[in-house]
Amino acid sequence: MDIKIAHQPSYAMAVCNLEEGESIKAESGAMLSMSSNVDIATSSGGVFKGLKKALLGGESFFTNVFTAKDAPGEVCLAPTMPGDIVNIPMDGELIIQGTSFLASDTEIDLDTKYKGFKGLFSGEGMFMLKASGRGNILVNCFGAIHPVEVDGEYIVDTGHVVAFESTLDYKVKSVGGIMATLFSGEGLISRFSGKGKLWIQSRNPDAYGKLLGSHLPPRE
Amino acid sequence: MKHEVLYKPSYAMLKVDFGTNESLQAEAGALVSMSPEVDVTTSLNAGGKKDRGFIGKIFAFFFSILVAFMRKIVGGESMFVNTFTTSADSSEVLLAPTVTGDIEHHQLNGNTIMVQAGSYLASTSGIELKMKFGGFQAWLSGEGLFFLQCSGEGDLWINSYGGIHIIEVDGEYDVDTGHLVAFEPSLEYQVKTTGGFKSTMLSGEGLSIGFKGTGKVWVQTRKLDGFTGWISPLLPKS
Repeated sequence: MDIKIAHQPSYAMAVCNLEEGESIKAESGAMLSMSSNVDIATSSGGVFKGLKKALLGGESFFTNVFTAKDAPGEVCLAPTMPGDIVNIPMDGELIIQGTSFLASDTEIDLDTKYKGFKGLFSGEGMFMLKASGRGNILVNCFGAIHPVEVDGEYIVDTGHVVAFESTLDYKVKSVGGIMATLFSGEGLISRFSGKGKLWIQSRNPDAYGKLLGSHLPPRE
Repeated sequence: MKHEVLYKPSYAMLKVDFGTNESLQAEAGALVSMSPEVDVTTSLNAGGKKDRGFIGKIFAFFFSILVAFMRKIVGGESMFVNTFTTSADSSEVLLAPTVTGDIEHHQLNGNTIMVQAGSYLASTSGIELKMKFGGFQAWLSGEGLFFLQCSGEGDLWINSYGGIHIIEVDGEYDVDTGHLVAFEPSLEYQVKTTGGFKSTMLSGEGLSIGFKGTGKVWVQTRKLDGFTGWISPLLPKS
C-alpha cells in the first residue's frame, strides 16, 4: 500500500493506493473519493466492540473496510475537522485520542481504553482508543501535528494530546495550585513519563468550541 | 532564550526554550505542552507596577479586578495570565492561541506596542503589560476595546485570527475594530462610527478606529464575529 498525504497542514487528505486485493480500514464518513473497483464493507469489529467504541471512544459506530477488487485502486480519505494527518508506522501499541483515528491497515486492532477517573471532569475527549498490531495508522488532528520524543517526563495540556506510544505512562492532573486550577484556563494536563513518541496538536478543539460558542446566539 | 513560531500561518504554535534566569508570561489557556520542571503561577491580568506602597497595592488590586471583570463582560480576553518559570538550564514551553491563525514575534528595545487584548499571546519578563481602556463608545457598542500597552525590553508575541498584515500609516487610516491586532503609540487613535452613534448601536456595523500620524498598524485578515455571524444562520436550530 502506498499512502501520500496531500494539502498539509490545514486541509490534509490521505491518498491511499491499494494493490489488487489489498484493504484499508477507515473511520466511517472519511471517504471522499475512490476508484470504481474498490469495494466497501462496513464492519463494527463485532457488535459489542463497535457499541463500546461508539459509546466510549467518541468515534463513529462503524468503520469501513475498502478493498481493491481485480485491479489496483485508489481511496482518498479526509477527517471532518480542519487540520493535519500523520502516517505512523507502528509495531506494538499506540494510544489515540478518541476523535483522531482516521484509518489503518486491517491487521491493526482497535480497542477502547479508559483514560482514568479524572478524565470525567475534563470535558475533553474522555476516552482513548488503543491500536495494536503491525502496520500503518493514519491519525488526524485539529491544526498542525507536532511530534515529541519523550525521554523522561513531559507535560501536555489534555486538549492537545493526539496520540502516544504505549511505552509512555501518563497521569492526568490539574496544573499548579488551587488558583491555577480555577483561573489558569489550562484545565487538565497529562504528565507523561518513560520513553516513547508523542504527537500533539497545535489547537485545542474544546477551547475553540467554547470560544466560538460564546460568539454564537444560544441554540434553542 | 530561543524561540520559533512553527506551523505558520493557519495553526501557528510558539516554541520557547528558556533557562533559570528567564521567565515567560502568557495568556491563560495558551499552554500546549512543557518540560516537567516548568512551574506555572496564575495572576490577574491587569498589569501595573510591582513597587507600590501598601495603599497603592490595595488600590491596584481592586482596580485590576474591576478591569479584569469589565474585560470579561465585554467578551474580551480571560482575566488571568500564567507565568512560567523553570529550575532547569533549558526548558521548553509550547504555546498556542485558541483561535486559528498566525503568531508574530516582536522585539521590544524600550519601545511600546499597543496590542488588542485578544491578540496578546505571550511575553518575556522584561516586558511590562498595562491595561488601557479603548473608549466608552466602543464598550457600549459591544466591541470590547481593551489594549495591552506592552513596553520595555524583551520579546512579545501577538496572535491573529487569520493572517497578520502590516500597514505603514502616514497620515490618516481607518481600521475596523474587529480586525485590529496592534499599533504603535506614535499614532493617535479615535473610535469612529459611520452613520452616527445610533446606527452603530443597532446595526453592529461601521465601528472603526481612526489612526492619525506616522507608525505601524497590524491587522488580521479575518474577524471572529464575522465568522460566527456567517456560520450561525447555517447551523441547525436544534
